[in-house]
Amino acid sequence: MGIYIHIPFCLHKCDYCDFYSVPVTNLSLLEDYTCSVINELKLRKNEIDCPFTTVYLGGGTPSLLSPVQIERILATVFAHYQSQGEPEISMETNPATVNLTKLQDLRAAGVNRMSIGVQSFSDQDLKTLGRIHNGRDASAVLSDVSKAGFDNFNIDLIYGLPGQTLAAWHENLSQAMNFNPPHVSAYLLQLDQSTPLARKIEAGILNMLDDELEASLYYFTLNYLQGQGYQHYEISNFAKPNRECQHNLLYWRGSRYLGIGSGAVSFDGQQRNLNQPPLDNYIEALLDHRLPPIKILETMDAGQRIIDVIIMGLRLTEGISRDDFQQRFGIDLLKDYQDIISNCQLQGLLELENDRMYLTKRAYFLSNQVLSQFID
Amino acid sequence: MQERIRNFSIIAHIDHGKSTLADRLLQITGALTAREMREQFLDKMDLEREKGITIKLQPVRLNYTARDGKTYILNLIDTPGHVDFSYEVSRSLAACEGALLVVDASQGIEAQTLANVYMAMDLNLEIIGVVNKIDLPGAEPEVVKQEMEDVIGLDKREIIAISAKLGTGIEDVLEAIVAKIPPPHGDEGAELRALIFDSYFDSYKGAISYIRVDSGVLRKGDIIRMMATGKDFEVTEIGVLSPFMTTVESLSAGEVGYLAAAIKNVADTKVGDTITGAIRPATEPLEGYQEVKPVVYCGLYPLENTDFEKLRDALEKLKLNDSSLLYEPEASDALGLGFRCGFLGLLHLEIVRERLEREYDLTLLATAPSVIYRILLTDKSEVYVRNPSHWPDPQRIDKVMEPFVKASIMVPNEYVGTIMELCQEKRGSFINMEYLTPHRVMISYNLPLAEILVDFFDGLKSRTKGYASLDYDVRGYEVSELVKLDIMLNGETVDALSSIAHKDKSYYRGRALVERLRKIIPRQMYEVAIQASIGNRVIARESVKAMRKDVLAKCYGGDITRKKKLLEKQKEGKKRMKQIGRVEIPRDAFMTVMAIDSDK
Repeated sequence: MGIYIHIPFCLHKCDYCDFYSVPVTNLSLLEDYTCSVINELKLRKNEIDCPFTTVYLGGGTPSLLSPVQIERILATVFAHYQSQGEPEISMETNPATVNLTKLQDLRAAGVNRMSIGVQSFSDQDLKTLGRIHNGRDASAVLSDVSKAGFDNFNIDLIYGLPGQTLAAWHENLSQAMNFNPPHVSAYLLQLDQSTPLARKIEAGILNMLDDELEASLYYFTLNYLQGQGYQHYEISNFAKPNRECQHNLLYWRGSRYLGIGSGAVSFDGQQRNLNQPPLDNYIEALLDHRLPPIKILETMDAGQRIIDVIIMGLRLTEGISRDDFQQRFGIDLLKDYQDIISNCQLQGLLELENDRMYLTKRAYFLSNQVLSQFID
Repeated sequence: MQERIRNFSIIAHIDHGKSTLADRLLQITGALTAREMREQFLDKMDLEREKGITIKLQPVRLNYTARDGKTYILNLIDTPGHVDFSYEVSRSLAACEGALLVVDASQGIEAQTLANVYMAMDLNLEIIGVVNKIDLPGAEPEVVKQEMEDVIGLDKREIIAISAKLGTGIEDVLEAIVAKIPPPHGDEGAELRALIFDSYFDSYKGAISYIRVDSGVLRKGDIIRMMATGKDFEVTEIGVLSPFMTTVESLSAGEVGYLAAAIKNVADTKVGDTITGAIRPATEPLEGYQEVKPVVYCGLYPLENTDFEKLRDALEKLKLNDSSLLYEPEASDALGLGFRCGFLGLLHLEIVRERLEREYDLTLLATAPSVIYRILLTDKSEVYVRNPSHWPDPQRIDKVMEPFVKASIMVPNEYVGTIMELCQEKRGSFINMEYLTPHRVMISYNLPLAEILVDFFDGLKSRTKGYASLDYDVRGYEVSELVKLDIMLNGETVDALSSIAHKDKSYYRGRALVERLRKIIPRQMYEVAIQASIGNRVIARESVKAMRKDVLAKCYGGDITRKKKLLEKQKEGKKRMKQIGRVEIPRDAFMTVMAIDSDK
C-alpha cells in the first residue's frame, strides 16, 4: 500500500508537459493547499485497512512547498496512518527550486529519497524542453543532495530530444554518472498534443528523431547503465541493487494506492478515482472539511483486473508470475492467454522461464505490440 | 377522383436544389409540422444527408388546395440525379404524367439532366421548367431560361423562376403542376394493374413495394399476383406516404402508395414488375424496365471471415430495392470468401458498400473496381474477366478487348481545350463537338470505360471550375493493349491487389502503386518487401522497414487509465487491418489500387 500526494504547482509549465498544474500566484495559495492536503489525509484515513510502505510527493513541483509544509503533511500521514517498517518517502524536485539548506531541511522533515528532475545537462536541451533550470543548476543540486544526507536519490533524464545525437546522449549519461546516483529514470520524450513543443514540431521548427535513432538511444542506455552496475528493472528505470523505487513498484505490481491532492488518482483494487481539478474546488471543499469532488476513471471486474495487472507487470523486467496469478485471481495465465503468449513467443517478444513470463530485450521498445494484445 | 390527382417527378442535376425544393413543397402543403421538419426530409438515407447529395427522394403524397379552391393530390415520384443511376430515371418517369425540370440559375443545364429530360419527353411527359437559386449572386435566370428554350424547346415565358431556399415562387410551381400536368386516366373498372417502381425490406412487414396503380382498384386483403413470377400474396397493408406511412383501405387507378404482403423472399417483388389481381388477372403486364447491366465490378469481402453469411443476407436485402446490384460468391487466396459485385458506377459502389456497413453492421474490404474485359484466347474461345486475378496466362491470350463509352461532356466553350486534353490523356478519341448555345458546347469522345471510372469526373470538374457535366453510354468492346499488374508482399502475390493496366501506363502504375502501398502499410515486426510485376518481371520494389518503436515510456499510478485507453485504441486499429500471410494491410489498401492515376 502506497500513499501518493500530488502538489500541482509549477513556476512555469514545461513545453512538453500536459499534466495538470497551476502557476503559483501567492504564497497563501501554497498554505491553503497544504491545509487542504492535511484535511484530506485526515478525512480519508479509514479508507485504508493495511499499513503503508511508501509515500511519494509528486507534481507539479512538490519542492515549491516549504520544508515546514512538507513536514506538516508527513506528520499528518504518520499520525493517522499505520506504517510498516521504515517507509520510503520520495519527493520530486526541480533543480531550480532547492539549495543545500532546503535539501537539509527536507531531509530533516522526513523525506528519505529525492527524485531530481534534471532531464538533461545540456542547456540547449533544457531550452528545447522549456525547463526553468540550466545544466549548472542541475550539477549543483546533485552535489548538494548527497551533502544533505540523501543516500537514496534518482536522476530523471529525457532522451530523444529534437537534434539529439548518440554522442550528446552519451555525454548526458556520463555526466549523471559523476554523481553516482542509486537510481536513474531515462524517458523517451513523448510528444503530447497541444503542448508548445508539439506545436513547434508541427510547425516544422523542430523535428523529432526517427524511430531508428530513438531505438538506438534506448538500447545504448540499457547497455551503458548495465555496464555501470545498474539493473534495468522497468522499461525506463534503472537502479543499483536494492535501490528500485518501492513506490513505483507498487504501481507495476498492481497494488492499491491512495492518491491525495488535486489531480491525484486513487486505486482501491477495483476502481480508479481522480480528485477532479480544478484546484479551487478542491481547496474550497477541504478547507470546509468536506471531501473534494471525484471522477471515477474506471471500474474493473475480475477479468479487467487481470489484464490491468498483466499490462503493468510486463513493464517490469522480472515480468509476471504464474503462481502469483493463480493465487490472486485463481487463473492459469498460460492457459487463459495461450494464443497471445505463443504468438508473442513466436515473434520473439515474450519469454517464459520457470513460473515467470517477461518481455524480451527486443520487446521493451516494442512493448505496446505485446501489451495491446492482452487488452479486451 | 383521378381528376384531382397529379403524378410528377423532379429532374435535376445533383446540387441544383431538388431536396430543398421538396422540403418547401412539404412545408407549403402542410404535410409536415414545424416540429417534424428537418432539412432534406425526403432523403431517406443518412448517407445522402451526410454527403449532401440526393440519390433519390422517398415518394410522397401532398394535398394541395389550389387557387381554384379545389384540393388536389400531388404525388412526387423522384428521379435520381447522378449518372450512375440513370437507369432508375425510367422507372420513376414511367409512373408519372409530368416532370419538373429544375435547373440552377448560375449553372445552366447539365449533360445528365439533358439526357433525363429527353427520356421524359420520349415518354410524353409534360415538362415544367423551373429555374432555381435565383437568390444567388451569380444567378442569371434569363440566360438560363433562354438556354432551356434553345436546348430543350420549352417556352421561356412559361419557365418559373424560384428560390427554393428562400421559398420564392413555390406556389407558382404548385399551380403549374395542377394546371399543366394531365391527371391520370386509368380505368377503375378494369383489371388491376399496378407498377412496382421501388421496394425495400422491412424486418417487421417484409418487402414493402412502392406502387402506382394504373388501372383497377387494390384493396387490403386482396390476393395479388406478381406477373413476372406468377406468385400470389395476400395484401396485409396498403397506404400512402404523406410523408409518413398512413394506411388506407384501397388505392384506385392513378393513385400512388405502398403495399405490404408479408413477402419474405426479396426476389418475389421485383422493381418494374406489374401487380395484378389473382382472381381477375390482367392479361398483359405494364411495360417494364430495361434490365440494367452493371459495368463495374469489385470484390466485397467481410473483414471477419465468419461474416460471410451475414454479407450474403445483406446483399440479398439490398438488392430488393436496387435491382441493378449483382453479386456472386468468389474466393480469394488473400481475403477468403466474399462476393464479386457488379455496380452501375463508382458512386453506386461506394453507396452500396457504405450501406452494407452501416445498415447491416458489417466491416468490409473492397478490392479495386474493374470493368469487364473480353479476352479472345489463342484457341479461339473467349472469356469475360471481371476479376483481374482471373486474367488468363498471357501466352494464351490472342486479343484483349475492353468496354468503351461514348462520353458527352457539356461545358462552357472556354474549357474546350482543357477537356480535350483530359480526354486524350485518358486514351480517348474525338467523335464530335456541337454548340448548343453560343457559349455551351457538347463534346463527344470515345473513351475506355475503365478510364472514366477512376477520376475522370473529378478531373472534369477541377479543370472547369465545376462547370463541366458528363453523361455516358456504354457502346461496346474495342481491342486494347492491356496487361495484368501483380503486387507481391514478401514474395507472395496478393490476388486481391492485382489490376489491369494499359501497357503504356503499366510501368508508371506499378511504381506508383508500390510507392503508395509503402506509405499506407504500417511498419510491422518484420520488414515487408513490396513488389510490382508484370508476368514474371518485377518492375518496381519498395520496402516497409521493420518497426523499431512502439512504447509508452512512462506509466505511473495517475495515468494508468489513460495509457490503457491508448492501448485499447491501438487494438481497435489492428481490427481494421487484414492479415495476409505475415503482413497486416489496412483494409483500404485494396481500393488504392485504383486511386493511383489521380496522384499524377
